[in-house]
Amino acid sequence: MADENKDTPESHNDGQEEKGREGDGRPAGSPEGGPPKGSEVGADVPEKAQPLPPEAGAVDPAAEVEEKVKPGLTPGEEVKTEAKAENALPGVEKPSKTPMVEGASAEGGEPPAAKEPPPARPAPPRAPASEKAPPPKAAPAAGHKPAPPAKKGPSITSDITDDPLINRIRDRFSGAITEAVATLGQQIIRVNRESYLELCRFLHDDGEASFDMCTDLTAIHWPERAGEEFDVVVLLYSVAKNRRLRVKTALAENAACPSVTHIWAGADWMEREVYDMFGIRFDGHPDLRRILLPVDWPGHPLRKEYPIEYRDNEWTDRHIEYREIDYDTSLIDVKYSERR
Amino acid sequence: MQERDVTKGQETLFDTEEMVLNMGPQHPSTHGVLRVLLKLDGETVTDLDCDIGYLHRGVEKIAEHDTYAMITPYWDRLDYVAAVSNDLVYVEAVEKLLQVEVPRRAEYLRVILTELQRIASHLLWLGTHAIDIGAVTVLLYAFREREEILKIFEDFIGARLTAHAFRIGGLWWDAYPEFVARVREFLKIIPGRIDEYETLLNTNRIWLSRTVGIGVLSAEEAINLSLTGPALRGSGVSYDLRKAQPYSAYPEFDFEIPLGENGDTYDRYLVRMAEMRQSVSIIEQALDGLPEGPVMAKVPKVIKPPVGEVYHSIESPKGEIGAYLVSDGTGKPYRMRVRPPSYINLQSLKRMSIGHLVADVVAIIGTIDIVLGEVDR
Repeated sequence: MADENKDTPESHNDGQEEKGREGDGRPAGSPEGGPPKGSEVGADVPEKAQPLPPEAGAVDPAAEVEEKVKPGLTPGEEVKTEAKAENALPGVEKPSKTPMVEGASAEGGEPPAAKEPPPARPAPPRAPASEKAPPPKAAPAAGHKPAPPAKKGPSITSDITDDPLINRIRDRFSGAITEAVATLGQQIIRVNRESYLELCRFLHDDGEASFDMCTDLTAIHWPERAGEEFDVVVLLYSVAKNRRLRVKTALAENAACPSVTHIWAGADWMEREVYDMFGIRFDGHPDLRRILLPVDWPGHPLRKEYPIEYRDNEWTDRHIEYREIDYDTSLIDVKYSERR
Repeated sequence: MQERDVTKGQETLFDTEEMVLNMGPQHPSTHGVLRVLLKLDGETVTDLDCDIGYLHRGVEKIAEHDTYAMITPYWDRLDYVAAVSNDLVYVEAVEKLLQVEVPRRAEYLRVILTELQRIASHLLWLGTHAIDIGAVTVLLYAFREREEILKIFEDFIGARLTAHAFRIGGLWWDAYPEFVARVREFLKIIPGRIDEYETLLNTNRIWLSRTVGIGVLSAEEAINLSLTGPALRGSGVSYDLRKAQPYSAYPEFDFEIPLGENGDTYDRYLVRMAEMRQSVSIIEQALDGLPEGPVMAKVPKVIKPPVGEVYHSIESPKGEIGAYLVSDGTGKPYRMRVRPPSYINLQSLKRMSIGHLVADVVAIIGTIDIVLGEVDR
């Protein structure tokens, strides 16, 4: 598959990818968002350097799975290893040998497989996350960015070090850019909220960047990341340079995000949708209303705490008018009970 | 008998008040359940607001509760007249995340199917766009050809509309024995038929007066509005993901990107017509070079992508459709975002319609080419 960016993930080394992940607020064990990324990079390191081996020995099978994955080399490898680890777990059939047959039955065979392994994949994200939460708080004193431990699974994320544009942005917004990584060759920079608008304007106006199209604007909810519950993600594209860049900024629960509609008019409905689905307000948006859901809909569905079932009943009850209808029962000559 | 002040009566009768006109959601020319509120000065549109969401199903929320494989069929139902294209973007996004290499035969078959889908989608657009403007005949002809494509799909995939063609890692099935012959047969007739439609419309005086100069967007405006697809190329911007950021087997084919000049409804019409011809050429090349081999890569039974995220987008008939997946290493995506071309293109309706007549709004909705299943998701 052809990739859009010049930067390929090949260039990564373990040290760099370590940083990349943490910046995302998703350390290996706690994909749900885990420790705050505010307390930053250094925070995680000790925990990964030392406690991981003992932990892996002590904890559940899922940790074992992860452990097995770690030594893998290439990202592609990881997937395979993981699958094998899973298959090796009790209750799951051993993997079939013939590739085509396996391929053909993979999706059909999934539901049962999904049912069986619950013991095999018990919440690795949640439980360890809570266990791990304390160390980062204690750790910041441990300084910042020591050489990350070599013991780290393959990652698809790596730091960007040699991109001229990213370097330019880094120079200009030195403190504001907290992270610049490439995932599968796709460049992502993270900026703090204060400089978000300024950066967007720069990316649009600057001749070298000239990101003239806002391809998409969306958000991600990380409820476990205290103080930075939301990520607003802007996907930019430059028609002239044929290049993409993803800008992320973290927001607290009730914080408003500056609107970029006056830079890219196309962001209008995208921001309205984010407001509708996540409840994030955009300062300076000309017409911030709900767009897909009714105006009086309770809650914001794409937040993680929002449940998925029976959400429309209450709203429907409020809006539907029930009427009693008098049926002339004498017209019905066959009783229901008599019908077959 | 009371004397009436005639002049005053005239004033109230021919008052020049602004008026709000409600169009839809059941209006046939809104292509589904789109409700448009028009503020009118006489017959001229002075302001416009879209009311959408009637078909909202919460696909992005549902996706967070389903495994990667289970999500695929939801994509068919977004843009339900181009189901195959939608599938492609999702499976390719997951494959990118898993770093799976799809067999070449599967890539070629994918290209053939998506390009057939592009022709089918453009035919549906052409028919409905023309009937909105008043040319009923075109619809009947366009649907005749679309039917052939749907039959090919039905025999390959098992469904006509919500064709669930692709799997993560390749295809469900290899092509059936007569597939190549049937597609070739279709390719033989379709260029002549496109000529036929063009004879009906290209120089038709009514068609010209209803489309030329209507809904003009400059290139800068179109880019600023995040417009993609034929609607953007009608304004002369050469942005087609098949060339700009090639995916699947597209780098191996030789084709052109048709561009408009004036950015009006007529140019967008010409662009789509030319695109159909290009699609025919791509399918021909793909059939000629169709390699032998397996159609399914080795993919783990339980799909658990590594922690990370990916954005992948392809050129669907409507524009850039994208899938943004955030994986937390479990079997379900942490977040799935659909980058919906119809939804984002529909924003430009306001910019394009102001200053035009009510009847032109119908033409402009047609020229954006929206499908409400994807607008509302």
